[in-house]
Amino acid sequence: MLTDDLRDSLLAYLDDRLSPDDRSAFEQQLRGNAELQQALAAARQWQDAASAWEPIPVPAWSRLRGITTGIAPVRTGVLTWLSLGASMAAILLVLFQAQFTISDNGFALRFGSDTGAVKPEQLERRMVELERRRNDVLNERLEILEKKSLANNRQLLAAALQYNRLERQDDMRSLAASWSLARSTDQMRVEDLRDSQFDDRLAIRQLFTRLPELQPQPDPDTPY
Amino acid sequence: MIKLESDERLIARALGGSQRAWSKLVGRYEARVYNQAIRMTRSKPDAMDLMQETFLAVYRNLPNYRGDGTFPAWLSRIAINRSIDFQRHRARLPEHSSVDIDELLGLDSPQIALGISQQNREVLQLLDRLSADQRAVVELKFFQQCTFDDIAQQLGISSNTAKSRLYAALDLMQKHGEVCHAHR
Repeated sequence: MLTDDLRDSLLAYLDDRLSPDDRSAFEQQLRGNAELQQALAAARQWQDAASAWEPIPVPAWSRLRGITTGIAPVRTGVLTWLSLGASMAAILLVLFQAQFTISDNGFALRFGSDTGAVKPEQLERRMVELERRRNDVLNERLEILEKKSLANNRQLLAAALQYNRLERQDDMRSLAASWSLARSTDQMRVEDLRDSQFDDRLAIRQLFTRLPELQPQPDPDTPY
Repeated sequence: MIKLESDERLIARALGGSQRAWSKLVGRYEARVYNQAIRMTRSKPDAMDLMQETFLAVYRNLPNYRGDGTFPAWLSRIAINRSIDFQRHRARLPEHSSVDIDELLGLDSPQIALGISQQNREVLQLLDRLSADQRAVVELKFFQQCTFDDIAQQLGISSNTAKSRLYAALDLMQKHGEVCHAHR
């Protein structure tokens, strides 16, 4: 069994980390120790295996997989706080209805709505204008709807007429087919009748030809 | 001459929301992470998943990167710990208890088999004999050339524990060598 010190020396020997004196001492020990020789061979086998490894190329893959949708690494720095502050300021300006005005006197910032300053006449005019616009929009929409409805009705009527025409054509076809069938059946019956008449005539003719034979012969002994 | 942007600059730009910088940073280390993941999982599809998980974790923790160590070391620590978790989770699944290395790598399919050399397959077969913890130490020691102190720091264990795991991996290799020798 090898001691840990000896194993350490073995690895140091492999890595070429031993001093010349230690190296020669280890090599001397190595010559007389079969177990140490085997351990060195095993270690060299691993070393050889590592140097024999041929790098395998990486197959094509998406280097950004999971990155775009995953948790992005974020460092909270000055810029982050700055952008947060700017966002907050923007929200507050909207909430307080800030108004920037530039006049001859300079730049002015006002908060709050100024709807109270609108006069009743102006409001009335605005209302009328809005109503007119609303009516225009409504009329326009109604016209469009009417046009659409008319076009739809036309399409519906054309489809119904077409369907009706096709249905009538089908009826006529089936009627013609049934007539044709009845006619052929009647013709067959007429031919059957003709055949039976012909047979009857033949039978009657044969009967007439055989009639003298069938008539009873007068008895010569019988007086008239 | 094209001057490469430093990792720190790319990290700063990525933190500022630059996807291009992040993509550049990933492109710089993806092969390293992917190959490490293949060695840890011995499965190409799992390695792909693990690599994506690792970079996602790195991205999410990017604001916590203080720059006290190098970025590759920090990345490697996340990758190796993710892969150990992954191994432990997979070990609990019954269907992964005993699977052929070729099956794990998806070598049944000729398209996937391309790019796995015989040498790499032998390395993976060696790694397959180790536990997840041992594999992590072997990965860091022999493939990443870390010192035991680095390994201890990356895995959150003591230096002695890291050493004992490595010695256990060496013993396994030694026993395997003996078995192979006996068979010959």
